Amino acid sequence: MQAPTIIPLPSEASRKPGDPAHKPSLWQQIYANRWSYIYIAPMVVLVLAFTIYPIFASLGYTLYQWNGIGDPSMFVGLDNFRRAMTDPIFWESFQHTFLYTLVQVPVQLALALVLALVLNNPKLRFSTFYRSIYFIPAVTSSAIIGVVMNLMIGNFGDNLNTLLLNLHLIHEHIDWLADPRFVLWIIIVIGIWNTLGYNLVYFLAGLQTIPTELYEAAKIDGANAFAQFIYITIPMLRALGLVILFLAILGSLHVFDLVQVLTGGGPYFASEVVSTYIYHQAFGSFIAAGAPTQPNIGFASAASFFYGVILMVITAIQALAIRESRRRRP
Amino acid sequence: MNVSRMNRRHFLQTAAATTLGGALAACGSTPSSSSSSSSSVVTVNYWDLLVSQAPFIDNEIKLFELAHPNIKVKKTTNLYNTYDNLLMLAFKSGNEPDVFMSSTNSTPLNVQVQKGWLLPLDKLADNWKQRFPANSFVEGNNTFNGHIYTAPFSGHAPWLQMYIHNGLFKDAGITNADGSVKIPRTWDDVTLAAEAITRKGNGNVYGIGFGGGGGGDPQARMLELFVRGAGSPGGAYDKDLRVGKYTQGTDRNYQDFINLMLDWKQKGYFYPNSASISDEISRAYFEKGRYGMLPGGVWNQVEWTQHNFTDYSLTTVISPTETPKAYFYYTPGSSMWAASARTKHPDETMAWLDWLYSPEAGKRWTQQFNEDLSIYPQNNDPKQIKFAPFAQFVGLSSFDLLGPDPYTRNPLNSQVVINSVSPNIGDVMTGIYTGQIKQGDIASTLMDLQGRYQKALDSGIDQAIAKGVKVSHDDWFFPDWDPTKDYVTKPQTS
Repeated sequence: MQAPTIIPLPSEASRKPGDPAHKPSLWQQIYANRWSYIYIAPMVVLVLAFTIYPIFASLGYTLYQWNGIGDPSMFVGLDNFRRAMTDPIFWESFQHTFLYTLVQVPVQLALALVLALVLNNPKLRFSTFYRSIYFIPAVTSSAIIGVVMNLMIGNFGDNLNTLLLNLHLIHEHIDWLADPRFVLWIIIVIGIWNTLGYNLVYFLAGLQTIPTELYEAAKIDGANAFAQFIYITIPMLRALGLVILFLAILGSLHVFDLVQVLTGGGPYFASEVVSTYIYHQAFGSFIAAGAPTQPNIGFASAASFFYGVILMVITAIQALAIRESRRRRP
Repeated sequence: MNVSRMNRRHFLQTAAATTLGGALAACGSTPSSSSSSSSSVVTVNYWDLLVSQAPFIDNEIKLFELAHPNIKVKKTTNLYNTYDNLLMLAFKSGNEPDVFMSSTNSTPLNVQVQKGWLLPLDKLADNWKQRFPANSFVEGNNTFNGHIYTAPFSGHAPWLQMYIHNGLFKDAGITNADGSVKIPRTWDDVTLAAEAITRKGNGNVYGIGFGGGGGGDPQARMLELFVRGAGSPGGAYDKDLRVGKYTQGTDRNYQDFINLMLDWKQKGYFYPNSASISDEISRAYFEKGRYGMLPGGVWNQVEWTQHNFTDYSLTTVISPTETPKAYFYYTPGSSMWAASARTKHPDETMAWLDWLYSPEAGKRWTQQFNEDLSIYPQNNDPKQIKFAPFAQFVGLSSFDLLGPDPYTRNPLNSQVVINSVSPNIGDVMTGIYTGQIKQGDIASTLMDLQGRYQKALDSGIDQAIAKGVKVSHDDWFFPDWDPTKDYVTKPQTS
């Protein structure tokens, strides 16, 4: 068989290394890839308008005490940042958010991986049905889940208590959503269940990209299922797993709707997370008869910006750690 | 227009015009008023926030449209706890309704006037000043620079009551010699009733219940209901104007009631899920006889009436002693509805406002729909009210006295912006109830709360003074006030 001959294109053949006259300009490069830019343009515009711009626009508000109506006029300098940094409720919310992430992410990812392994088994019958069942909570609005759970655990919590009392699992009636010992853990459990489906699907997709030949070869070499999992599945899922991990961490750090609907951050801030804290500061709290909390966009912007900086630092440390671990890998 | 005298052709014309106007209004994209191009029907957009008053409002719209066939009122009922934000954002974006329930949660009325948002009701002023009771319009309250912008609608009665489930009280033997329910008047009465009902209920029925889920502050409301009669006229939320300061930490009555509340909780008198059930569910559970007492307002009655549940009584200002040492207080003025200065149809808008604020609407509000007392005293005769529990409520008006008013004394106080504090009394009372604030920390927490409330007031006054507004800390100090009597505030002379 004759080897194929590669004939250089005239332009490439005549180009000399380091000859700037033949290097395409930025505009030529953009034009050459115009369809790529056209396709990503809507997303870029949306991100610029609704993510980047608000971040910088709100920076100015951090220097004012402002309720969001009219133009900000009461300049307070960096006082909003000082208040946010010294507010124990902010740090309590911060702790709750990180506890939520620390528990929810590993438990959910482990469960999702185990379920994905089970559902990826070609011998499993009705696997499509099971996939749908596990994915349904993920496509249901967190707010709706919050409302339904609130009805089940809070408003009609007698039934749950009666069941648990009859089973001798508890010895006294517990007001689950108003008990500071349990409320955050209930939210974590619901949070795990709610978004489990996404990670399950991601892992399932990842598992299906692993060539079956690898498993067949390992079997021939005498590897058992556990060894196959450790030496084939885990390494082959590493790249995708990192993406899933990042997405799960970011998602859990932004938990909001479930908490807001289920408990509103209560009782007495026992389930307040940073997102609900910022929301309550920005838009005020419930119009109680005599004790409303007035909105303060300035303070909320400062707290939000401060939290953003903390998250960026954490993300940078995380990225550095991952890069370091990759560098050390033989 | 006399409906009975409408002929068929006129009726069809009116119906067609109304339907067309409605259809065009429905197609419109902005909430501002609109009129059809082919007829003279004008749509006035109206925003409400109280589902409980929907039967009254809907009836008024029906009657108003019959009387004004050229005007259609399009009502939008917004979510209660986001209403203030929605209204303020609507103003900011120029999409506010023509007529709306006024809200001052984030922006005081004087600031709304300064921004040019509110329509001065000058055309109605002369008529209103004649027909409303004295002291209804107060400079700095609902009148600014001599222009009326809004008016009071409800009469004066304590905004909180304790509802008594007659059936459960009778079952527990809490009755008078004649067999009638013995209404609790004192803290001890409530304790005894709660104990008897809880004991009789045997784990299924409790003495007291409330709805703490959904962001309300029922424990603070309980404090409000019980601490006033002990001699703390500021109640849970306000300052004691005898000293011009907040006193939640230094006044012993607050800690005393809190101790009593914790004692009730420890003894199991409260329905155990009270802190997480919603206000609506708490109302339904009371109706179903899950607990014997429910602190709440007259808004509860509307739903119970719809369900034909009438076997309850009510009381208020529950005190440690038979005779209360302080009461609820009202101040002259107040507001209910207002109109947008940017309305495209000021005449029709004012016609709808005038209708809502009329003595006839007030009569229906009180006597037909039993929503609340009317600002017009002639509507508040208990003999004219057929529904017994509501007549009882009307009878409680003697527990609401005329109190001192810093804004009447010095209208410039409306320019004092008092920022809210967080955690507030509602948060703190929740924390105490759930045990998050330990028994040993309650006194220091109340002192801290008092200090923060006081700082917010003092800062607001100081900032106003710094801006050149002629106000003073003494404007809030009424040393000659006897909380057991009406107090007429005299305007500052200099």
